[in-house]
Amino acid sequence: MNKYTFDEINIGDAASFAFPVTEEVVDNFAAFSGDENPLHTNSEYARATEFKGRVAHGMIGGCLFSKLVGVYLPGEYCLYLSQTLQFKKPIFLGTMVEVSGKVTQKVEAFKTIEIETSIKNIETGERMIEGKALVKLLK
Amino acid sequence: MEKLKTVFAAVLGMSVENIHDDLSPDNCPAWDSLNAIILITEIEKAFGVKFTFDEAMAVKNFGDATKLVESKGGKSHE
Repeated sequence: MNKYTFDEINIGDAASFAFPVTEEVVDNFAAFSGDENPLHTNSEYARATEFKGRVAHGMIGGCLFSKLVGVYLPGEYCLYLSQTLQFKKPIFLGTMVEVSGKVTQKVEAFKTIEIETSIKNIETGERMIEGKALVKLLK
Repeated sequence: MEKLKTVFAAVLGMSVENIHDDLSPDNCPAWDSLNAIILITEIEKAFGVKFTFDEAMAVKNFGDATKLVESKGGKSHE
């Protein structure tokens, strides 16, 4: 786990990690969140939709942004204040995604940073989820 | 359209016409502690200025924000 302090963070700093969105991940998310919508959980149902297959919950991406800021950028001293999300493309089961963030703003007055966050399909390069995180640094 | 009003309207989810000097956390429920931080973030970005903690905490209403931005060389009427 990274331990960047506010003074150690610079605009332009970036971090990323890869993550496989597997059937197990989607099933576990459905179980813990209670969102068992058949588009996420029922192959037969999902095949009959315009998506032609099961789609991962968009909020799995939200969870991955939580890992991005809580573990990588800035890491331990992170206090997650807000996160915007735009679901640009469906993430199908079996997709390997890259979760990344780049610092775009530092506010000295509150020791906060703004991070542009995104999730892209590693194979196609398509940006699937975008958003902005606002994080306070505890040190 | 005044640039600072546009920033406040976007962050607080209000129309620009409803932004006035006396607008404050006391009469605007959307101006909570989180949006106070977001307001300072967006103002710094929009005007290219930086505030200290004390300066940021001294902003009690929109009129204060206007004066603070102007004191930093920002043109709030842009």
